[in-house]
Amino acid sequence: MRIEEIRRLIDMVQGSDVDEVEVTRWWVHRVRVTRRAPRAVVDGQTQVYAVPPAAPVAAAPVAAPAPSVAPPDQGVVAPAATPAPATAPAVEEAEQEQEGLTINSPIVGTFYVAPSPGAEPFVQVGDHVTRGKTVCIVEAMKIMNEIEAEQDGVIIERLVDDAEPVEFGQPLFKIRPS
Amino acid sequence: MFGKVLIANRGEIALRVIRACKELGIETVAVHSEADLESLHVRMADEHVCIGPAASAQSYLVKEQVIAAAEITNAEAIHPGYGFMAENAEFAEACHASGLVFIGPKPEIIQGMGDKVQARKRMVAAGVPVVPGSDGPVGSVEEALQVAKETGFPVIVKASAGGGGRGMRVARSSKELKSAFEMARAEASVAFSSDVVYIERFVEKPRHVEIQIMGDQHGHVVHLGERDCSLQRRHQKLLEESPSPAVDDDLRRRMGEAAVRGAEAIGYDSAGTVEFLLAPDGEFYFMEMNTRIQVEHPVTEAVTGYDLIKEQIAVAAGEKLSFRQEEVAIRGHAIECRINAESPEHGFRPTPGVVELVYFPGGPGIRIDSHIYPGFVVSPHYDSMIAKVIAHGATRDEAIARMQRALEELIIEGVPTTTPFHRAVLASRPFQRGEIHTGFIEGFEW
Repeated sequence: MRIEEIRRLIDMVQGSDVDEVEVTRWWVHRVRVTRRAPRAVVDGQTQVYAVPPAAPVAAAPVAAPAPSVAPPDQGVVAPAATPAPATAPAVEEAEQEQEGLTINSPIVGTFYVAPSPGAEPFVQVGDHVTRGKTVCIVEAMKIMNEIEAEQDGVIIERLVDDAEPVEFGQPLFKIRPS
Repeated sequence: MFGKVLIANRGEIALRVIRACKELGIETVAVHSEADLESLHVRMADEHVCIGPAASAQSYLVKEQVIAAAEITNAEAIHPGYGFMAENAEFAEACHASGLVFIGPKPEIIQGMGDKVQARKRMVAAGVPVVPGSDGPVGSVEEALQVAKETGFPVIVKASAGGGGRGMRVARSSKELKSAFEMARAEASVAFSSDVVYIERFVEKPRHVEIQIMGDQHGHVVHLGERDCSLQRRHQKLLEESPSPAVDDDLRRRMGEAAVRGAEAIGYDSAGTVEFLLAPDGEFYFMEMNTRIQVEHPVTEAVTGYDLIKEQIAVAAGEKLSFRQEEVAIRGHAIECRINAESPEHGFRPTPGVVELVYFPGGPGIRIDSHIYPGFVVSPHYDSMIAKVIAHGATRDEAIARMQRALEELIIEGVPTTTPFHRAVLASRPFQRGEIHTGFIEGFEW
């Protein structure tokens, strides 16, 4: 995890009333930003960054244990960082996509907003779509696969640029159900 | 050489291929199911693409998804590993059609060797010894009895499309053959959607000895000696070694030459394995050919010193084999134990769960190929093998001693494994004397 990302987490906690935010990437990159003394049991690989109330925070260095299959003792080496106590409110809501609020790609391929280059996009932000309406194309193995909305709603954001690759399950649009 | 390779697999073999690619300076793309996002192969690869939900049938076995992943990442070649789509001719064909190199043999070879009846015919034509039996499908009980009369009992009825021990039935008399024939047919029909079966003489107490071969696109085929994979449970290999305690230099040369002859006859140009039954009298018979890299390839790597995966990738890129037959020498002895998340005390039933702690052995002559780590979830969706421990020593005795102390060092907590079973086998007299055969485990008390 990059320093800027940790800084963002810290900012997020500072501007909210949530106690802590934990982000896990892989099993060795786990960062938890917390306001008060964390739970008694701290995972061996968790790095805890305390956020002093309303003070500028120097981002702590990220020292994830070197990942490797071979060293047998990896994973037990990294001791838990000692959490400094802190108090104040915090925000959570990292990048949690609430379920059902996005249209996800059912296949791997290349995302296209329109049936052909230069053509009118299938949908624009603000459009009301009904279930079954084609919202985009994902091309795989030279086959254009039309992706349909699975519910009625309003498109509130497009999350992928035209002609970008997408993977299985990747959110393509945010949709507000109606 | 390729600039970027996609690995259409998971687990230890995906890692193994990524390691080879890294050493060759090739970029790697991992594909994964939603359940495997936090897998080591995903982590170690340069790029990764999610291709579907946890069930293999909707992810690792969907050729369109895998090929699309190669397309969006601009990979030039696909390494299939073993299992999944490694011996799927349609997948290999689809790769070619999409302008991708399939790292393996040509689709028609996969097809031809995947069909047991056809494979046998082609090996007979190439002068490779086969077990006496029907020269093709057997369609009726009467025909089956006729074949058995010529070969002599006992006989084994096998599914043409079979593998892994399914669709096989042994018969020791005409009476037994009648029911065995019908049962094998029914089983084959259910398991492989084909009720084509054939009949062979059943070799009692045989060893499973296979020859590793390697071919390139310039007409060279070499063999890298044998692996003895006789320690099997229900046709699933548990422990493999090279060289075989039952093979001397002369037999190795003859078996190797037969394997190379068969491979040359079909224009084989990748890594492959020719499996033989070795009878107690020293006669050997072609069983089948595996047109892929195998789980147990590290024992051959240990005793020959060649990196089979790197070689396989290089020949797929059109390069010549980096060595000649006369350069291949067998040094010392190597053993591999497959550590599965299975409970040997409970009929080897799979034991999915969370690996809480892992400590891998080290020291001289030990190699570990594994994808597990503390917190790794052994999923019921996939194969139960979680680690391979390979021990290499100057002699078989040294290799056994090394394996024994390595398995003493090994710690895997959270899920029961086959480790205690391996320790019992290694400590047993018959194994230490090298007196093993494919039925050894069935009669093994521990």
